[in-house]
Amino acid sequence: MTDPVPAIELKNICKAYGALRVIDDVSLTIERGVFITLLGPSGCGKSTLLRSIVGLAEPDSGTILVDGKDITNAAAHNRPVKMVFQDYALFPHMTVAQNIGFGCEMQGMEKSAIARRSTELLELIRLPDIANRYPDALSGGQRQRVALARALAPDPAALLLDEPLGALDLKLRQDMQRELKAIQRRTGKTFVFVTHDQQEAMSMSDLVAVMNKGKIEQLDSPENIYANPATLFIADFVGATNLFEATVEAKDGDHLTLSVGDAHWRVPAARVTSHRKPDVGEAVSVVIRPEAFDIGASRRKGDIQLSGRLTDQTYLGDRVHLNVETADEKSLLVDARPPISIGEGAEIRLHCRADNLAIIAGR
Amino acid sequence: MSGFNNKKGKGGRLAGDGSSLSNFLTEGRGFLLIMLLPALLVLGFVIGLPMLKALILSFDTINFRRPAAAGTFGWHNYEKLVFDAQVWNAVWRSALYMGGTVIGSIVLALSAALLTRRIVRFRALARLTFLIPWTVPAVVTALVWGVMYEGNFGVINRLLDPLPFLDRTDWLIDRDTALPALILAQVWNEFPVAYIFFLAGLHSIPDELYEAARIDRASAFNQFRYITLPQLSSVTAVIVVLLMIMGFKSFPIIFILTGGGPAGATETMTVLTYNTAFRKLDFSYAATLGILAVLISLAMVLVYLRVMKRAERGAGGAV
Repeated sequence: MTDPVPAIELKNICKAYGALRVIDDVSLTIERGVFITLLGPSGCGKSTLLRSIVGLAEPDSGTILVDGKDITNAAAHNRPVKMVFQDYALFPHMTVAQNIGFGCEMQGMEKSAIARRSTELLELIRLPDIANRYPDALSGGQRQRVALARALAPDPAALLLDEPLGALDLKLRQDMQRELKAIQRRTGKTFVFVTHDQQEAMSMSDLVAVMNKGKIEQLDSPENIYANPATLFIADFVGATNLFEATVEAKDGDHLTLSVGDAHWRVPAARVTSHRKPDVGEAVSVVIRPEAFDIGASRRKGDIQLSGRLTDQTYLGDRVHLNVETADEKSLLVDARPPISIGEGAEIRLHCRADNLAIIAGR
Repeated sequence: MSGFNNKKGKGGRLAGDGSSLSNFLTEGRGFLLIMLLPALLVLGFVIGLPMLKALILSFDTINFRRPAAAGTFGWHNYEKLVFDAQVWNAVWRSALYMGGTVIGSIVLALSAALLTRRIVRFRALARLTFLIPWTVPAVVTALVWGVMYEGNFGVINRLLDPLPFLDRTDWLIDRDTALPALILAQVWNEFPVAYIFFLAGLHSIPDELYEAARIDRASAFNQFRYITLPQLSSVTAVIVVLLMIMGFKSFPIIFILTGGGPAGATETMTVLTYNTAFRKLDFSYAATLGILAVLISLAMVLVYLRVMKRAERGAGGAV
């Protein structure tokens, strides 16, 4: 059951540095116990938004509520949220236990209670034996977990994580993604995670807010963000994409007829994923993901049929990336399951279900 | 290069694969020695020879007031030194002077560094202001402070005049105030060295540590106590030893302002050595005092090297 008071509420947050609007009228409601990710490219305003919540950046306008209380003008140390920094920000001259207990000590907690809390959190992060080690004697993954434990120690209402996995190698990053999600489930805390890595966002989050140029373009589940991108930016930024420029030729009941080059595609109108629905004659973009294609001709009525020449293939173990060039010199990216017995330069036919694409108004 | 010289063809030796002496001279340590030889010769000439001369002199009896005793070699100067209360008083005063300058310089330099760390406007000007004393020669510093300390019209007495509980005093003539007055002048002259170290140290502390501490409710004082001070500990250790050496070796300010007086109240090791040589004209005993000063300095240099080694090991890690 969802608590009626959200963990965090942002209302019309704006922040500019000179003429540059870093956060542009952002409103966002984050329910309790949710793992939400702010996803976007560098400079989109996601870190600034996070720093505004924790009190390290001051928004020009707007309201920030945590647990229903207005904390917009509260100092960082008076906010019930904690942050895990990109470089962990562990104090190098303190042991792991001292690092974890620092926030509790500053709150005036008794030493015995701090020690108990440190032990409890070290068990939570599954590193009970490193209490007396210094940060420089820890691996990247261990430091990351200790930083997490330190932020959790004063029992915050929500935890904000600013690209904390950026410094880890791929294997460790994947392990930590699972670990982070597990810790979030165990503690039941609200996690607000910031990343530019879409795979990271998809694998961990209950909700993803995709940001671009200071605005949240879409707030949805990872599955919907991927399958039903609301904007061309999201379609392009999240996952690999094949984009087709098209025009709406006709609307007929619950179907649209699109003119794509010389072809005419009849697609379900429900596949319009942008907020604005296009009118007849309007330009649209059709998004087809690489894995939506099947190799070969299709006999199923209504499928979209394409053909081209295989120019390049890259073996990736579990799949093969194919580059196919169509007759009108459009380059398509196709994901297929190995083995593929087609040589480079060979003609290849592709098809895709009409309900396996997304239509976005505009180009 | 050495790899090339060691390669052997199938049928015989390559050029350069000669005798062991030529190998020694063209490879490894021998090559390094040849490269360093000019510098070693110059250093040996300007440092080694005078030191050797001083060592020999310390066993001799060169006293211009007793020329007849010249050529008497032995341990007599060292025996005299061990029981010479004036020497050990001078060592104690050197220690006091050193301690005073170290503490004063560190407090002043750290305060100045903390003050100018986050300045945005006029940053260069503010930093330059704190560096100016360093550019002033010690002799000029001594003369300026001498005028300031002057009993009748010195600016310090003028400034303190409004305070009812302080009488006018002749700072450099009073036995109780002479040494602290010299320490103050020395601190003014040398604190910029520590200031540069502290400023660099403060800039190397990541902002994220302070942000994390702020979020954890650490007050400004606690941030200083739990982050700034521990993070500066390696730098501070280096500065302390460096200032100790500078303080111990200090001469011009003391010599110009008091010459070791009043009644020996500011006679440090360096001033005592000078007075023994050029006022009492006892060069051999002065050389013995010089050897003692060198040994004390050497001990501090060894501590400095250890501290530096620890600082390098501890850089970025636990201190």
